[in-house]
Amino acid sequence: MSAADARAMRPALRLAPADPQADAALLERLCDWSRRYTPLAAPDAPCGLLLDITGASHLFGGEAAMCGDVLERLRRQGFAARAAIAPGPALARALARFAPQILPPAATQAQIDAIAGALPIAALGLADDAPALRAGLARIGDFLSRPRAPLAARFGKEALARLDALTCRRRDPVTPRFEAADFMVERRFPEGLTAQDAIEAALTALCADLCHLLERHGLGARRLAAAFFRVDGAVKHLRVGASRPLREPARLASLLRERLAVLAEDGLDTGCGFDVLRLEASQTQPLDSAAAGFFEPPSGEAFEDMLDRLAARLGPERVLRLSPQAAHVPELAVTAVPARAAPAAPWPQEEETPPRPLRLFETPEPVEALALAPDGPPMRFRWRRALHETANWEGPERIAPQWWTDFSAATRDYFHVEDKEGRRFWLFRDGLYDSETPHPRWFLHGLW
Amino acid sequence: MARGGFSERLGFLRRRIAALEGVGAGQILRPEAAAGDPLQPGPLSEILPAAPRDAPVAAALAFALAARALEARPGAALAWIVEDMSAREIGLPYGRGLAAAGLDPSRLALIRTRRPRETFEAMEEALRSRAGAVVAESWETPGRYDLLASRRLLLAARRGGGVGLLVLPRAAGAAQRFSTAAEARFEAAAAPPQQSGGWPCDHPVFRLRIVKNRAAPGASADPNVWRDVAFDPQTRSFHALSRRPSAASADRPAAEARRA
Repeated sequence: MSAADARAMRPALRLAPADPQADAALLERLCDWSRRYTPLAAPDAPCGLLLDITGASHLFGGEAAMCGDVLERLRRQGFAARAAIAPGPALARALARFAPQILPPAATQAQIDAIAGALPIAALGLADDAPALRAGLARIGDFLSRPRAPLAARFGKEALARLDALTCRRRDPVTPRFEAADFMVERRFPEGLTAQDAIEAALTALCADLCHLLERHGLGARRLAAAFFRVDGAVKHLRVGASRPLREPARLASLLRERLAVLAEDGLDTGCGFDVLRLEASQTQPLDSAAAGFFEPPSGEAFEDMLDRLAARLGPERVLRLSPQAAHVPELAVTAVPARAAPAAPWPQEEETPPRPLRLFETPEPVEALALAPDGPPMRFRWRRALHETANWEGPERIAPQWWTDFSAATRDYFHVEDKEGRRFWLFRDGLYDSETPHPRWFLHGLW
Repeated sequence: MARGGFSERLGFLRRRIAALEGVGAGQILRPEAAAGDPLQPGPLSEILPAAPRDAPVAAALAFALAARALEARPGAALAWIVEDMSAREIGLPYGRGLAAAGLDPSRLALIRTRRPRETFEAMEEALRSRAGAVVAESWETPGRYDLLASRRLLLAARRGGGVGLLVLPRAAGAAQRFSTAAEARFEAAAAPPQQSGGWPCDHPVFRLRIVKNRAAPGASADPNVWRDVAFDPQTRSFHALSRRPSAASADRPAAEARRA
């Protein structure tokens, strides 16, 4: 139907341009929100959500109460929704679209067939309904009452697979949008938390619960994810990591507090309050239970804990360790990796190394240099508007580019240069004069 | 309390204050307390460049002092705090260069901060966590870094037992004009090239003066005397320089190294 026809039928119609990306984003946000009921939630494009509530419905007072709660909250957020609960995901999806009802989990196959049979052909979700309609099959029940082999020959194996899924003979698992963590604790607050210290106290209690859970399995948490579900449907996430597995509630809580303190400045927008707080350990490692610490941890551990706290406060990409790489290009010979990702690996002992500066610029700075010979050292150069005259120089050290990855990079000739005041620079000429470029440029890469 | 308890109270208070100040029998003996060495960094030292262009030399001196402090504390780690401004002005510490200059980079943790306030907070945390040495480069103006901030850092360093080295490139040339609670202050400049020999040079070389050093009371250091020192990466010690040591020409044929 075109927009003009629709307007003709209903003159007071409101039209808005379609924005499928915004719709998808909205669906993902709703999927996030629906994780307050179960971590196994997946969006069901274009306008549905699929939740696996096996074993979770009793927490909400039964399936009917849970269904009513979901619909009520969605209605408060401004959505008109229909919901259905069924033993299998395909059936639940079809029922929600065509005949919303709640099927008990103990329904027999005959009951399921009866209910599924009443659904129209569109519930199968076939790419093309026309062949089935031409054959005179209007309801799922028509499919069910016929032998399977001719159906497979006529409509394909996929149609039969979908039929089996619809009648719960074959259950495909729900692929959740976020993997459910193995260790998860949550608390619900009927009144909603708004105060910062109330949130911190709740997080501390959650850390204690999580540590009990981890202790039973002999594991420690390396990465934590906290999810805050707001009463009006928004969800906030907090992630922290540690460089070694932790199982002490105080340490975990302090990491979360650091991250919370950083966010509080920008705004962990509490709005009307959070009513569900969930904490999960998204990455765990085995941790033997050593004797509970009567002594202070050895200094190595205190240092690592300090690095974790600073990473929680400043961001994990700001607390780094230097890791040697097998590359001859200077800027790739050392990479800075986040401290919690890699343990401190020992550096290789190299006996004879060419000179390397103590400081290296992230991007080489261009300088204007004057050299007597096209492939000779710079006699004087201007860097940041200051002129330096060369007193001593050492070089050239020729470093070829990584020709296997970068076709257009040029060979560099590095010079260790000392100027008349005693300052030392590491300059390079980018490109060979004859073979690569007629006007090679000079750069400053490092300082001593 | 009775009148007779007055002197006891005084004595008690004196002992408490002495314990807080770290003087007396309870003092931690610093491993590198070699008598008479004026280059003792103490719990907190400031390193200033003589001119703004000497900022990398000041950072190199801080590195040398930290490497020597780590030598005396096996197993301890070094925390190097670099502000974004410092990375833009003089670059980031380069692992291969640090390895060549005598530090095992696996003992190093690099912390990048955005603002001077973050730098000081990170330095305080690092000092309290019993790091062997903490080097911080902050582009903070000397007006804002005052007695209060330096006292906090000093107390944190005393508690942790490590060495704190703060490089302040914005205070270039103002070495004697602002007062803080740091126990030592060094001013570093580039050592001028020598007339003969001394090149190629792979040791860090400095021209420095000791503006104040309360941590090494045994050594008398005239704050106006500039001295040339070199840092030996092998032994991780300083020695005075009359002639610069020239590097062994391994893989450097004599014909390659020239003097202009």
